Amino acid sequence: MDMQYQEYNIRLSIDSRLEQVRVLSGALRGIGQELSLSAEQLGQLELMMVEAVNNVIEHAYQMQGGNDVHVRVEYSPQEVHLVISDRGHTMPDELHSTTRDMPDPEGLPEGGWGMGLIHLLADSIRYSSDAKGNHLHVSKQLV
Amino acid sequence: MKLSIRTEGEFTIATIEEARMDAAVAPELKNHIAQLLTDGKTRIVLDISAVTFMDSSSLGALVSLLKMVGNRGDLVIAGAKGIVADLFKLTRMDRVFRMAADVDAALGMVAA
Repeated sequence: MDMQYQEYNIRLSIDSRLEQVRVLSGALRGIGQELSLSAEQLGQLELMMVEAVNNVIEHAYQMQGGNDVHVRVEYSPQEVHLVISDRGHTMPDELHSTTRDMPDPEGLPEGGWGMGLIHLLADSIRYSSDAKGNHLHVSKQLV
Repeated sequence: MKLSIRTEGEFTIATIEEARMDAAVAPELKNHIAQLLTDGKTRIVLDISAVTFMDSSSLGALVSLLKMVGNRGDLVIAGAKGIVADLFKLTRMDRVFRMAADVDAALGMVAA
């Protein structure tokens, strides 16, 4: 079957609890396998999505369950666009607006890599807030 | 989190028997390994060859364990591959951890 011209817009959501993130990962892997993404592309997409969703749960919702975390997966043969949305606390500008420096390894950091990893792995990042909540847009070129 | 423990000479080999290390299981992983340290098993090879996905929360847990080990023992990470190896490289934490291709290589490294 020729999937050359197919495009998809897939919506997923979980409750804001860390133990639910693995199910979201499983769904993304299933989507990626159906769309014949490479293991490397899929691994990078999964890492970006999980870091973004962990951030939402830990910071936007401050570890409070009972809130929705939405992930939209927009696929075209040229790129995958992920939109991670929440209705929690808005991310401070400095975390998403500029390329994040990774924490200094020699300082033995125990965190603070999330947005830096997304910046390194994504081809573009955009963050917006509107009446429907906060949205982190992350794109990855496939070709 | 499934973890199997075996002893080889003075080394304790802890093998993660799950494909995923994420924020949901990172505290449990940290507690398991910390207990080994409390029990005096301070020369540890952590075999993550079965792990196909790891997030930065798990990496943070490993750094915390590395600090616990300090200079009284070893914590060698064995078998990182694919996106898991990439996570160590992208965060440059591959410079801080002793990393080995597999358990045998790790044992060779710490025994030397």
